[in-house]
Amino acid sequence: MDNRIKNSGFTLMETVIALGLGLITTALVMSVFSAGLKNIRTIKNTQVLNSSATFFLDKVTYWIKQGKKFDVSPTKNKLTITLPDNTTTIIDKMTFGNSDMDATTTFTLMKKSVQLNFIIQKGSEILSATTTIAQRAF
Amino acid sequence: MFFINFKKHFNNKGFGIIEALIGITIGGLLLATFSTLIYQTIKINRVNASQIKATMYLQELIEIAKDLEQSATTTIFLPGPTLSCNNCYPKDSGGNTWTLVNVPPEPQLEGIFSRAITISPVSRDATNHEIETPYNFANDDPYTKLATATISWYDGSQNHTQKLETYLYYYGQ
Repeated sequence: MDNRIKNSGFTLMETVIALGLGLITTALVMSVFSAGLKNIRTIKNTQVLNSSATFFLDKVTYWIKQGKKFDVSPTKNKLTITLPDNTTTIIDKMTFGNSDMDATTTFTLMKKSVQLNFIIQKGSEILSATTTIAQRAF
Repeated sequence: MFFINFKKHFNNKGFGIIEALIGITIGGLLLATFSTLIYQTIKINRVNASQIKATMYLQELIEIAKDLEQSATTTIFLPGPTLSCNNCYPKDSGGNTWTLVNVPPEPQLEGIFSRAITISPVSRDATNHEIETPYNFANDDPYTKLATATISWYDGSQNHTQKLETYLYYYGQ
């Protein structure tokens, strides 16, 4: 019985080569996998930023379109909107979701529009843009 | 019988070159597939992000046109076939006033986006007063203008263009 099975295992060379190939494959798979995970995280953050920016702009647009008078604070980071019924609403720093993300905005009053420059950050991802929202023609 | 099969399955031949090549090829294919998937995901995400920004910059042109609709009526609502502005871009001319200029060209936004707005005349059917296409000088409506905003950018692999149109109305008539 011993004679029949004594040489049935892997040789040292085979084992070393198999281990080497296994390690190289594992390293390759891990590097691709970790890069993939990192990118998935980045994509998720970017999507969250984009949807937050859309939400933020929708909200600001909603109020600006209704405003009949606008005032910007000296530091330019607070917009006071007087509505047709003479009540006011204020737009300044806005916090999203789990308070780990906020939009910092500076406002500039143009003749019949408001220009805003906003920065939203989540993790290492930053979305910054400048845009303009016109007042509604009364 | 048992020992014969045992030996058959556990001989000391090791892997042949064909087996090794097949193994490496399958592994390579799996890695290539996974890498391509990740690369395409990143690319689509980048294109989406650019698209969102492009839409925002494009909408800004329309919003600025809506500002000028109220604040610069004498330059926007020119009678006749004259283009109020051809391939212009907005500029803060000081005093918190927007103006549309086309010289010099606007620097690309974020280094990739090129945008322009054209304000063209509009004519209306004499009977039903609906807007005519194409423009007919005989039925020119000086109190309505067509604002066409375009933005184009190159995302590293292909060119993209988006267009938005809106009508501007003179409210002071």
